[in-house]
Amino acid sequence: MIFLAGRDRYTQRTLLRDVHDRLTRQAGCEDVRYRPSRRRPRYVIADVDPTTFLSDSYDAAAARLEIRFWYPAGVGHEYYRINWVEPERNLMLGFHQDADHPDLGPCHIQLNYEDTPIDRHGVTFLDAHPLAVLDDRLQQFPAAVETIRWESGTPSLPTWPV
Amino acid sequence: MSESPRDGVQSWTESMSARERIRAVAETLREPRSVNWISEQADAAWSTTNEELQALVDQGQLRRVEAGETTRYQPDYTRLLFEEIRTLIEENSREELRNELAAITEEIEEWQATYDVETWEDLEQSLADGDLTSAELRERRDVIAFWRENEEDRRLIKHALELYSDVEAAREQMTDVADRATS
Repeated sequence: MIFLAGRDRYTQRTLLRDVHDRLTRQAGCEDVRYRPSRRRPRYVIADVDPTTFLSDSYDAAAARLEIRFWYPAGVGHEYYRINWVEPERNLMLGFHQDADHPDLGPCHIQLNYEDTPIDRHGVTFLDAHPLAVLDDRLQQFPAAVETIRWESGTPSLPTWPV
Repeated sequence: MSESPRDGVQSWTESMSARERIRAVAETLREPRSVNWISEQADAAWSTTNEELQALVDQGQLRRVEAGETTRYQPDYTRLLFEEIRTLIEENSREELRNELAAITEEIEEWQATYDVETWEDLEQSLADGDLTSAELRERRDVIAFWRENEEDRRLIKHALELYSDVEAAREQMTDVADRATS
């Protein structure tokens, strides 16, 4: 069991380096980095120019991608959080595949505002390699952020079609 | 903003070659997979995938696993372990590695104090406590995952420190030989 846990860790480190490379090649992503450190990667973070990344004009001047993949013990698939964060508006929209909301299935999309979850919807579980999953989720962000509705200064995510 | 055609989220088929994608998928597999599966995930032709996988086996990056009629591929995990150690040594000074060990210890001590437990296994047992809110459960599950990863990274970094002098000496020897060959 310990051997398996260690093995997953080398796989995770390799995977996070690939995620780092993928974001480095992505238009609109800058200053791609690891958190807390390259020696101990847990998240890959990138500063995002929304207009370039979304290929459309956008209300927020700056955003950030925060990506984590990990392999929990006793679970057959990877867990991940692929988050779009807007620090100025204190908003987070993320695809989360973890143990948090089993009622929504293995994967959900979640909108947080001022550090509070506002809306959540189940999304399709992609039975695929993590890098193929990342590719799909990144491509879904333009549609996802467009789904956010603002009313009296408060956002909501009324629906999510997939 | 610019109307450059590079704007927008590129798919990885636009930003990486088929061989790069095949390599990336194959080197991060957790279980043996077929050529079909890997070619589908990498969005690459079967024949290209098959060729690239053979090349990776020849280079010692992948292992071929025969299961009955089917051939599957998986990373060579021993090699992955040594490559991680090598990367740690090549990219970091001893001091940086020692500082990372200290940061890991500090983080674990904070969790021990916060949750009044000794190990992540103790913290895992606390998940059965019916009084925890969903936010508390989520936080504890996250800490358990980070804690396990910290312990695994600590082992890796310790290995890297133990091998540091030997790897450095071997590298210096290689540089000396190269210098003599060119002078």
